Amino acid sequence: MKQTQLLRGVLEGCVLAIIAKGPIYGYELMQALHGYGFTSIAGGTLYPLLAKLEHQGALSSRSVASPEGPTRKYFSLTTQGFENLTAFQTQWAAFGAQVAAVMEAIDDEKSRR
Amino acid sequence: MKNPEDETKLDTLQRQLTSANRAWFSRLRLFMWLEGWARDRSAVASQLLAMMQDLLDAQRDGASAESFFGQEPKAMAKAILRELPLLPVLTWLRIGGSLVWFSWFAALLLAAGRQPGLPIKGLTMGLLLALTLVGGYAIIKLLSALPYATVKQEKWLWHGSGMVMLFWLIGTVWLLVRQPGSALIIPAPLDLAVIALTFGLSFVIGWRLNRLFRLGTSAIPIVLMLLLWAGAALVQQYLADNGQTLSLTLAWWVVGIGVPLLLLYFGFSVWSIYQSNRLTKHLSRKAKH
Repeated sequence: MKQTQLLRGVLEGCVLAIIAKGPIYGYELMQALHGYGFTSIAGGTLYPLLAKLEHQGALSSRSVASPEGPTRKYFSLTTQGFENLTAFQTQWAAFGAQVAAVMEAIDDEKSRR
Repeated sequence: MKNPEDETKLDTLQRQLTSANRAWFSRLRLFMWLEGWARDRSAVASQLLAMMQDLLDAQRDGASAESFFGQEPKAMAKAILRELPLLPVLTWLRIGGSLVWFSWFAALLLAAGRQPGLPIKGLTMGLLLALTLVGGYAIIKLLSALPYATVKQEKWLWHGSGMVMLFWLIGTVWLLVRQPGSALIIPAPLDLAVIALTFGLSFVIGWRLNRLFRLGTSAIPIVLMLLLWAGAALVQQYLADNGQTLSLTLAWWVVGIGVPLLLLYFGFSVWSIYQSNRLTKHLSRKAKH
């Protein structure tokens, strides 16, 4: 299965989690995602997601001048964003445990054979 | 931040891109402007600016626009646009008002002088409004396909836009000449006041648009054309109200006022074209250097 298909449901949560650490701009966020191994993520996926989260009120943004280059648009989590992240973490914990249980059962069955 | 500021920044930053990245981003920018015609202009500009700033960082690290944004810029742009706010209500009211005004103005212009009392036809105005809405929407849709069209498609899209404009023009002329529907007659001398008021308000709207788009002297031919139309409509309606034909004295007055206005109109039109050509040449020379 392609990484992009698996990512569809969880990317939003991952993005919220990274932004929760502190204000971050688009390119920096992309590099952070690549650093975590999500190398298939391109701007075509990230920018619509950021626009969606900002539209939903989960993110706020502000322009900050940079000495190294052009002004950058920094994203931060709003209260709504933190609530969304907490909800994702709860759902992911339950979902992850369910998937792990299924995988464990398959592994047990394989080892018994 | 205001839209013009973001637009200027975009222009400045775009020059810092490599030629390949600049071409890629120019397409995206044009597509987002055309496809996002109903979206808040400042939100679109702000979004593009943020993406441009990130692209410059990516470029500094050796990435191309295509590798940074991915293979599907059109789908990305559409997905982003869906999340951006629509144009403010006031802008929609202005657009709607301008279209209604155009229908009223055009129908009035061609109705003047047909009979004693000015015939106002609601159906004609409604159809004209509908035709302009459909034609305008079709042209925007065709033009928004241009940035990502192949050379062959591009040719067809230009032809398509031309055809839509031609149909709109034919339909408009037909509606204005035939003026279908039943008429509400505005009696004399109120009809002359309505014509004068219509043109007076057109000048006010034109003046405000001129200030908004900083057209400067290039708007003079339009003003002269409006003056000519206003004069012709008023004279025609005055004659129709009084059951008169054009007398020799009145004809001299019309020629005396109309001909200089017409000459001024053509003079300013030629001058405007000359000025815009000079500016284009100057800008292209500047771009080369």
